[in-house]
Amino acid sequence: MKETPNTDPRFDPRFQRGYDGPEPGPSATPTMPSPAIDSEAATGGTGGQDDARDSAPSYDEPDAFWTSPRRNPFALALLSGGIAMVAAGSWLVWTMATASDYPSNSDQSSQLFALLQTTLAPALLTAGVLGLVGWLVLGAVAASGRKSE
Amino acid sequence: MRWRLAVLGLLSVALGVGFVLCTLSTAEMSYRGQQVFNNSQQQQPSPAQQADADRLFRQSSALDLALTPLAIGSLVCALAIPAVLGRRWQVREAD
Repeated sequence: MKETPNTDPRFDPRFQRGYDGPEPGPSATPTMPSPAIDSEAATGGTGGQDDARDSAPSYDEPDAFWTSPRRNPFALALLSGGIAMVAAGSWLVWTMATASDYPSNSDQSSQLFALLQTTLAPALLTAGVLGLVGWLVLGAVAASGRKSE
Repeated sequence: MRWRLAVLGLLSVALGVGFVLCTLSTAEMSYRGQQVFNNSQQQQPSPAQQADADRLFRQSSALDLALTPLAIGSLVCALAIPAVLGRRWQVREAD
C-alpha cells in the first residue's frame, strides 16, 4: 500500500485521490460494525471478521432482515377463552332446548342445574362473544400499527 | 399497570365467588319454598308457613336477577386480563 504525500493519514490511502497501488479489494475492516460481528465479539467468538462477514445477512436476499412476527400468546389465550365460553354457553342452551321435561321440584340438584342453565348460558355467550370481539380488536390494532410505520 | 391487573383478577374471583354463593342460595330458597307448596297439597299450610314460602320465593327471584350480571362480570374481568397483557405484548414487540 503506497501512501503519497497528499493522502490524509486518517483514512485508508487506497480510497484517496492520488493513490497509486493495487486495486482496492473488500474492506478489511467495515466502517460500521454489523450487529452480527458485535454479538460474536460479545460472546467471545474467535471466528474472526471474515467468518462474521460470511454469517452476516446479505442485502441481496429479500428476506434477509425479515423475521416472522411471533404469535401473541395472550391474544391466543383470549381467542381460546372466548371460543370455550361460547361453546359452553351453546351447550347449556342445547341441553335446555332438548330437555324432555321440566326439572323436578323434589330434586334440588336438577333445580340447581336448571338455574345454572338459565343464568350462566347468557353470561357465557355474552362474555365469549366479547372475548372474540376483543381478540379481533387486538389484531386490528396491531395491524393498523404496522401499517402506520 | 400491575396493580390494575391484580384488581381485575381479584374482581373476577370475587364476582365468581358471589355468583356461586348466590346460585346456591337461590337454589336452596327456591327448593324450600317449593317444599312448602308441595306440602300444602296434603295439608293446608299455616299463614306463617305461607308467608315464609312467599318470602323465600321473593328473595330467590331477587337473587336470580343478580346471577347473570355477576357471571358476566366475572367472565369479562377474566378475559380482560389476557386482553391487557396482549396489548402490552404488542406494544413491547413494536418497540
